[in-house]
Amino acid sequence: MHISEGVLPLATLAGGYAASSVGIGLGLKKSTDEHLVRTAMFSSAFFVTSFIHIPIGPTNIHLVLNGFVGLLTGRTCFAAIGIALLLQAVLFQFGGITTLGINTLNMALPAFLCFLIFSPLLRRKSIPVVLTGFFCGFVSVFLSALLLSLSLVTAGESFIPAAKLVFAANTPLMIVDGFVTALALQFIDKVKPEMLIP
Amino acid sequence: MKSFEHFGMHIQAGVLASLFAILLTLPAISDAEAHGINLFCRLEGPTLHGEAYFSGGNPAKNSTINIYAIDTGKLLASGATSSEGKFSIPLEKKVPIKVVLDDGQGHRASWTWNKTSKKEIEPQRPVSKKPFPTIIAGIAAIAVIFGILYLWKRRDAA
Repeated sequence: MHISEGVLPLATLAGGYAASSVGIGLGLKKSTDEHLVRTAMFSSAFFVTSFIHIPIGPTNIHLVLNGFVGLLTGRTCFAAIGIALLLQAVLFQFGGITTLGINTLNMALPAFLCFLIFSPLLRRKSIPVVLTGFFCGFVSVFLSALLLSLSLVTAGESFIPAAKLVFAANTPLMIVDGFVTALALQFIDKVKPEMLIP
Repeated sequence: MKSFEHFGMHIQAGVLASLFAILLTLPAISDAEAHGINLFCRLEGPTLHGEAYFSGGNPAKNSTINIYAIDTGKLLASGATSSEGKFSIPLEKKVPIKVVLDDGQGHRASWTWNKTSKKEIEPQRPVSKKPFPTIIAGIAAIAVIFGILYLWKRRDAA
């Protein structure tokens, strides 16, 4: 789910950086210092989850869990995801420095939307925690794949088949991420329920 | 005081989450290394010596080695790699052969020798990328970045 360097036009790259910077800035400005500790922890968790590979069919996909990070960090999810992606780009050459902005936007915006949608559900417990987790994981990856495909389309019409392919390739991940988020949330709900409210 | 208790709770929860994440990753790291196997062989007289590594640099242990004659396709000899990924298998005579390694988990590698080609490449141990220490370095970097942000926020608030 990373866009490599040298594909996207400058406008998309700059737009990604601008939007992500606004997200990171606003999130950090409003956060308390205790919340920063939590953000750091989930940034580490997001950094590490990309190394969990799941072989499905011919390709190897890795967990994203951006919905999980968004749900538990709230508005600082841009910072959590942006810093994790920066380190993945620097240390492991996943993605790249020029695409860092757009990659952060593609991952963090769905995460933040999932926080807005699912955090009230989690607080009121109107549906079981497991279901909230599944939908959160599913929707976040769905939106990220959609944004990723749309960013590829900005590179030109010739990228439309690639964009469709990227979206299709990520459909199994939506389900896998949904299950993992569901399990993780249920685990936290049993062990440390106060953690569910950021 | 209350704020400190709160802080402690976050640390606890965070450590819990990180441990959980690291625990989940451990099997994945060794698996991530198993994407490719490099097989290096050399013939010394009628004996075939060889070494096998995963692309991450770890030896391919206890993998099956089968040696086939290229012209007839017959299985000439078989054996297994040691815990260091090495093997030595005596052959009855020097004929063109194909060596096939199977680690039993769907990873294969092969090496062929024709009588005519005299070039026997020395084994070159691949440079290990060591993903685990780099991951730890990444997490440490995240801690440092947020540590700076944290101090900066505190000073701002004071």
